[in-house]
Amino acid sequence: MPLLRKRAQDKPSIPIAPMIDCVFLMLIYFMVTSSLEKQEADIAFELPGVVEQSEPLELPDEQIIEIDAVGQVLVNEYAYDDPASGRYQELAAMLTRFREACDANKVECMVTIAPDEETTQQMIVKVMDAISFAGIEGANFALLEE
Amino acid sequence: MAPMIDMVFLLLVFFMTVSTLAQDERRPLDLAESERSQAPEEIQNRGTVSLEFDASEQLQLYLGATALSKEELRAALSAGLEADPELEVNVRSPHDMPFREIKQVLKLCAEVGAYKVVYATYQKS
Repeated sequence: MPLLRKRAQDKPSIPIAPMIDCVFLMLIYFMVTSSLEKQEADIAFELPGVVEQSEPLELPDEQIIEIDAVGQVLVNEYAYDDPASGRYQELAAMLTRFREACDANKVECMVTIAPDEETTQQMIVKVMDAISFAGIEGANFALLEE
Repeated sequence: MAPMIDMVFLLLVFFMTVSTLAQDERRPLDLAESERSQAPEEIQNRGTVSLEFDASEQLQLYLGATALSKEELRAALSAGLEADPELEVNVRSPHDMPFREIKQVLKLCAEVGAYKVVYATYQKS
């Protein structure tokens, strides 16, 4: 009889409290790490084709936006906006007028971005934002050979 | 006690799965910020090309998370376009990357016929 009683007392049990502590710790760790990553978004443009066109095209109206090494925007030799400003409002206003003129003439409006070699990605994205503000969808890049 | 442990385990498993799924195959880069960019709805047919300067200030290209040379990238993009003509190239470059480096990648895309190109940016709030 004493032997039997001893067995009953030895019934295995899992210590639950430390396990819950562990699990909570892991839970909090994964909750924190899963929300740390910054979400990425897109800004779209088109590349000029390299295919030769044999048929004559109805030429769209085109504006070429030059960006120099410090981010100064030039359209037809005229400087727009201070490169330090967070948003290129003058450029956006000019492009809005350009788009409205194109719409009135029922021609496709096209914008080509011609950045300098040293122009950084952030400056280009700012110009693309201005183009998007103006409601122009077809932005293009000048990929000229030197 | 038992139902609470069940719940906690469920949450634990959920967050473990989510955090491993979110680890997309791409390089961590400090992208440019944009006010007008939109989060993509469709990311099925897209190739992600990352540009980065290595320790010796040389441009290093990545497709997904694998480093490759310009020629390898060209081959990979051509193969990708053959498999899926609607292939979209997602160009990821740090905000201070000069255009002369980005131009090489854009040119390469145009040469192989991948005309659908997007820049990856962070959304400015």
